[in-house]
Amino acid sequence: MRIGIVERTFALYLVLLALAPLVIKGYWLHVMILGNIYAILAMTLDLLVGYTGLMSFAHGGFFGLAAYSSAILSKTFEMNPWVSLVAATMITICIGGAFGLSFSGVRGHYFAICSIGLNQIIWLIMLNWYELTRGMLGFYGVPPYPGLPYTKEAYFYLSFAVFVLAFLVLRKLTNSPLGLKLRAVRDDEGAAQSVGINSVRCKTTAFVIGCAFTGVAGSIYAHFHLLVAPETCHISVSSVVLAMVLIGGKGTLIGPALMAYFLEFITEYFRIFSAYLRLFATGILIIFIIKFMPEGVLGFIRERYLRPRKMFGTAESRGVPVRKG
Amino acid sequence: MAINWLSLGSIYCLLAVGLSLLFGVMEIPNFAHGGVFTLAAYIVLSALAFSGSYSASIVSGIVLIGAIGVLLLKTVFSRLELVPMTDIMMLTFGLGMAIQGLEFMLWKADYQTLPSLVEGSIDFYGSICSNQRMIAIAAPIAAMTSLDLFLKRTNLGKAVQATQQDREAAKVLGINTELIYVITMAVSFGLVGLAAVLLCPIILLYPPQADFITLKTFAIIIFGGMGSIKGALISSYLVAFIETIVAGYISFQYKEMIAFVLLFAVVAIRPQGLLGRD
Repeated sequence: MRIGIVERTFALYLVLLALAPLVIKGYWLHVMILGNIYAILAMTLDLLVGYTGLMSFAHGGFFGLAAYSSAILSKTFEMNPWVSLVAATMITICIGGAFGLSFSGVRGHYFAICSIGLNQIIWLIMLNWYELTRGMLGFYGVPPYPGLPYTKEAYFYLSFAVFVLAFLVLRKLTNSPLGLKLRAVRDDEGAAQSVGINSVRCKTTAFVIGCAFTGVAGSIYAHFHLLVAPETCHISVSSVVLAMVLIGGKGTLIGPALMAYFLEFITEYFRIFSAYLRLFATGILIIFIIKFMPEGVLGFIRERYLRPRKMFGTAESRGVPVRKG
Repeated sequence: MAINWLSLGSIYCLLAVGLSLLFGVMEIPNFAHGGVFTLAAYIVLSALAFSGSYSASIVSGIVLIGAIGVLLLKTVFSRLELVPMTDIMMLTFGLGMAIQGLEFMLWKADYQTLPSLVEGSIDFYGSICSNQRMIAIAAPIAAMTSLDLFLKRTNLGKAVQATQQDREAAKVLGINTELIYVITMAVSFGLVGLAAVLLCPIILLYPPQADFITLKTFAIIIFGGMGSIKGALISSYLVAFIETIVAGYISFQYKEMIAFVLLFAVVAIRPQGLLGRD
């Protein structure tokens, strides 16, 4: 693995982030914890969208599912929150893996719709199964992790550690033979199958790994907030995370992670003006990004400034319009 | 209950056929469909508050939403042939987000409804049903019939069908596909506008309603087969029928799930949909 300038900059950013709690306290530290959690979600979704080509809208659903299962297991069933973290991750992996397995033959917008359907089903169950989830009122009274002081600093470092771990694992993975297989499946599924790549297994693996970190993130969210509401697994969470991936640059890992922090901060900062301005601005931003830099901000920077000029490229890199997909 | 079913089915029909046309002719999987729906309803609402005449505001709302469609076609969806399908999908997705944000800012998040087109109700073999629902059954059928006649009997309609079957071949034969796109867009958005006018007196109108509408419409047209208008017709009534039954006898809360359960079943068993081609 070659370590390029983008990755060096990112490493510097991580170091700054690790030192941030020394300076930043209170509300903005809270926002940074959410930033960590969103960054985990954005990176795992990037594994699905950017590397495997699965347009999954179900990420918010998986996140909320993990949060709810961790909360319910530790409060209603009185399990140790650390055990319920593992259990919630297992549940999320099972649901995500089963979904990936059964819908791996479905392509393009069909897959997108099916994943929206899954998200909607999870949300409706959480909203309406009052006996278990308390529905609209939200599930409150979740115990925090034992052994860990319930301070913002502690939870910041916990989520930060998971975030760094997720980044390292995903980076290793996407540069491994498996990562190449995933990309082959993304670019041309038929061709990948004809050289002996099991595309169903690839897609399911991507889902399992993605859902594993999503599950951990969901559990941390539940035990940090001590309250889980149905909005956690609403489709709007999925849209926001997908927006982070698309704007940051799909297939780069770093782009979505940075965009997660950026969007989270911007959102919190502009909340004083209007909570809804964000929805409008994000939508417009997505349209502009897709129209003018389809590879996302980081992909655009890489393509424009960091790649050595080649004499002969593909038709696309020479700017010849090619009809895809 | 039968009236409920028929009116719901007819309105789903308008939505599904609008989406199906867009996808069939231009290959736009429009994730902003529900956004367009709510936007149309809000435009009618504002026009009503402005002018006071309901019929005038309905007509202006439908015309305006068609014009917005054409405007979007010329700006957001320009050079459509060169953009990969997943990017088009993301474009419509961003558009839906933007529309919803705009609605939140302009019309607030309150629940609203449009007034009924007509007051009163009639006694229909012992069951009372409001005239609004009767119109909701009749108007879509009239719209569908005229759309069918347009597509099958006029030269322009045949050109639309030709573009739907093979874009390149249609171009070779001298069909102005740009014009066809404009017409399809206007017709499709107009149908959605009509659906909004008919449905919003029955259901609540608030910006996130868009998500439900988009999802259900997609479920319906995938169920019926992407791009197949006949399939969309049949599956609209089928989904509405099952929804009504479930809401009536089993559970009102879970009726929204029905479309997706059907969708999963059909994708697993017959991915091209009930009447879809490959």
